[in-house]
Amino acid sequence: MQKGTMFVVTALLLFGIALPLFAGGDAEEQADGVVELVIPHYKAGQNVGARFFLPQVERFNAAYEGRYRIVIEELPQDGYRDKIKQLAQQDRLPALIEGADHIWFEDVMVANDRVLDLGPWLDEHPEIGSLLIDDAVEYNTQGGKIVSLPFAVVRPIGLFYNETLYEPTQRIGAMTFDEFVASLGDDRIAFMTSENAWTTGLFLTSLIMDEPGGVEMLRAGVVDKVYDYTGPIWLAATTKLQRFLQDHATLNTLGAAYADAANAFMSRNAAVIANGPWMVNDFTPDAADKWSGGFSGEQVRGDIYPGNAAIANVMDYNWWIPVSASEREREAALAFLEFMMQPDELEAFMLAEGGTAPKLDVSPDFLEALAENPILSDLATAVNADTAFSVAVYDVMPNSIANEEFGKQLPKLIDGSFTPAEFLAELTEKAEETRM
Amino acid sequence: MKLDRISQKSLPWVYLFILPSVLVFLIFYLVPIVTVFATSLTHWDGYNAPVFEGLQNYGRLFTRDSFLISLRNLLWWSVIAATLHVGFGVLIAFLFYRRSTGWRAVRAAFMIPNVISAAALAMIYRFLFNNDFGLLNGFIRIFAPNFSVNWLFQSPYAFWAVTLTWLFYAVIVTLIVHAELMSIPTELHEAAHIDGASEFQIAARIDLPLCRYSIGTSVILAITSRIAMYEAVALTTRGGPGDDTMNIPIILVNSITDLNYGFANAAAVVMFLLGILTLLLVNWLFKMNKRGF
Amino acid sequence: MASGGVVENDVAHRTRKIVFGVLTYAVLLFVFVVSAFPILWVAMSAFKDNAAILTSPFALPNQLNFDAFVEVFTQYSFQIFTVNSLFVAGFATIISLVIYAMGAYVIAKYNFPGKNLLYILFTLTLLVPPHTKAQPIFSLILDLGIYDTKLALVFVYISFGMAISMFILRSTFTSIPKEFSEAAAIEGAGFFRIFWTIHMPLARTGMATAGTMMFLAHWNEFFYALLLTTSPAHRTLPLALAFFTEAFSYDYTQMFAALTVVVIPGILIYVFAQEQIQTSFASSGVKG
Repeated sequence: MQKGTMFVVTALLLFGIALPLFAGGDAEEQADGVVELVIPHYKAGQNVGARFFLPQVERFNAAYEGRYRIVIEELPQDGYRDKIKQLAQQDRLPALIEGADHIWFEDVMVANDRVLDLGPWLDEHPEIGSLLIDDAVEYNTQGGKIVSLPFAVVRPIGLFYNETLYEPTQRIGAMTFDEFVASLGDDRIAFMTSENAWTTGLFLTSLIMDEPGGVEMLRAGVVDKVYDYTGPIWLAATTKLQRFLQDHATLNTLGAAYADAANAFMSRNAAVIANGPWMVNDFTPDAADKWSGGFSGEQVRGDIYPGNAAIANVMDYNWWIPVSASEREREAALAFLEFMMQPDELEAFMLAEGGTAPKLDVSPDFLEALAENPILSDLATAVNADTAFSVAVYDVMPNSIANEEFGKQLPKLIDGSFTPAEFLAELTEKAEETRM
Repeated sequence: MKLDRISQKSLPWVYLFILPSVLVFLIFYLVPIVTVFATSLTHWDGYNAPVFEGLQNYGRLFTRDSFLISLRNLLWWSVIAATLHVGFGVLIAFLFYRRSTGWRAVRAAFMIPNVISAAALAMIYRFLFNNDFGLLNGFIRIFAPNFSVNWLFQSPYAFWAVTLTWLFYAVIVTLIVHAELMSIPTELHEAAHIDGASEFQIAARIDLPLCRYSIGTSVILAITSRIAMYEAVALTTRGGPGDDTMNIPIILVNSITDLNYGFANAAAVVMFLLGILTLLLVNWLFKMNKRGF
Repeated sequence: MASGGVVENDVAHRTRKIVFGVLTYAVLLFVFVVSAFPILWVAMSAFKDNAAILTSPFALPNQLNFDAFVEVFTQYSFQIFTVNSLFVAGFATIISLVIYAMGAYVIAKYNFPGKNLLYILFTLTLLVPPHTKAQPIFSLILDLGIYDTKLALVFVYISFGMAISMFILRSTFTSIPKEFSEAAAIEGAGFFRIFWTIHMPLARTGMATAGTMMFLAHWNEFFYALLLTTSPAHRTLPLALAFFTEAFSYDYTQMFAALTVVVIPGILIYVFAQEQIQTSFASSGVKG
């Protein structure tokens, strides 16, 4: 018994001694007048986005040495938005935040005037304002304020294919969907049903865009969302999707998460995958440890969807600054936004993660460098003046439909226990339920 | 309540002993519980001021198909948990009690599923139940070569596939029951031996009734774990295919995704009430307020 | 004739014993396989490449290639995270055990006003949805000025084990016969002595069970570790693993190597703790 007593006493004592050790302070020392911004972000550590973002932050710190310094605090991507919401609740937001859940951002942050209006700053910097895409500016203008930095770069989402498995007779963007199906033969597409069923949802989007009126319907749905999926456009597109899922899906489609879909493509189990240009990072030699089954990044080509369509959403929230940031923090944060919007930084970004800046006159150096990256130049040349752009289905669905229900109901569409009409009726019922 | 003499005398001590637990409850749980109950009667996005709307959230809940399916699933899962799951755990506890060779290794292994994160387990099960290259179907095809079932993503199998992800992981039951078996006075066994009772009779007639209390506790714990079961579903089927494997926590989390906190908290209140019901029912069934010996 | 009957009886008895033994081992083997299979599979998969995992997930690896493990260790300082996890989970468990043993003891052994209500409230904490707790806990931690410290995690984790400890420990204390304490009371032992010298030793298996359950829950906790800490100095294993699974989300080989590295210490600690508890029982002479 004495041993037990001793143990407890020792433990409590240890605890008492250890206590002061971890009661650390959180003061950001501003010695020598440098404003230091500690920014929690997921584009850090081993995250794919870190490859471009961290060096960019370093370039910023070098350019503003002695005035501003940004320190990135590593956060897992899964927890980023949750943590931002919690910090907002406590009024302890960092000075710079990238993106946000739409409903939350609008109903909580914007509605309560907790977001800094970027309008005056943009007025002072016409050179930045002139680069911004009109749709993005319009979307980010709420109640006369510009609530987050509108995009200057659009990253068209299309598809990638493996040349050694699938050789299209002509550019996919120039094909009709019927020609695309015919050219596919037995080739498989990397679909998925887990998470938000991303690659499947992109493909459905391209099918919707192929229907008359589809592009307009999607574009109109961004702000007010679409709650009724029983219309003819959805039905026709879903009917085709069901056939693709039954005839061309990879074996692991049911229950596949994004990782599984990407894996199917990068192990030559799938010939085609729908995804955005940022995936080119996985096709460079330093990502070779993700490849298997004889796959190599050199086998990959990029294109847009049949029917000359691509997905691009500039109607989204980008970097924003909370009003809770102090005057000096705001200065530093705005300096960072300004830094990111410089032409050479934008070009560097597009070379690293793809995309085009419609209102930027790119430099010859940029075009030269772009030509050296075959996949990115594939994508750049695939887009022409007639290409139709639209948002993805995820941008027009209420949160839980986009993130949960769509993928959750897909297995029943695949195994035929739902007809396309039943599938859509189910989604419609669920969407209705979210309105209260 | 009538207090017996000993309790009366020790009342200051009793309060001193219960105080830390009460403090933990007050600090960490009182505010959330009150919030849940109060806001379940409101329309609330979780941030702006809630608007009172009476029982409307409950009306919505009880007319929603996915909720009714959740209740049905919960009923079945509770029955399975209380019988097969707890039964399995009790059986293993008795085998451990007999100290068959190697029981310690088995006990250590039994704990492993509780050490691995739920996400990893879910991933393993996705592979295990895969139609094309999963271990389960590979095994079944030895006997029935044309067998083809997508366990986690096909009605009606998904329900059973989800059930299998927790059914045999009854280590908590085993530990609780084993602990109580250990406290049975050896004299009882010796006496029974002298009377000529077989091992089996001792287990069935003496040990089992004396473990009533820990078995009851296990049943409560097993059922409340089903009420609160989130990861086992969210990381495998997410309630699908369709609504086949829906349960209340999934509804709750999905509603939060849409910032319908008032509605989500109505679901939470239902979970509370089901928990209380379970507690009272099992207490009564197992006569847990009375002591044997 | 009579002796023949005895022999027959003996044979039947022995057959029954053998059948019983075989059944016992079949069940134990089943438990072992079902429980150990997941981690064995994870560890095994760390030696296979992506394609092999995808196409034949249950085949044995062709070769023993430790590259994935080397990579995992060179990129992350797992020692720090392991120590952090041990520290946080260990302290939270010890403190919780003290608090809840006291609470469960008086609930099991004494009558006092509000007892049943308190027991119901305590056990229902199991059903409090995590999202409703997050906000009040976060502001509490900020008010206490312990944001981004290990202490914050210890503090919050103490609250986690409430329901399960109450279940287990109340059950344990109730199962201790009244006669023990009555005898001690007659001899003049006070409240604390009856608790400390009579009940605590007899409740050790229950304490060990509750402690193990709580420790493992703390060991695997992710949400509050993410919410309440930011710096790598206070990072725990589950949080580190989240960075990993994200970085290597579709590099199964790396991810399984990381998973193995994270899980194995947990198992070792558990086995080690079990042995310790066993020995302490043996030396103290209490059956258990």
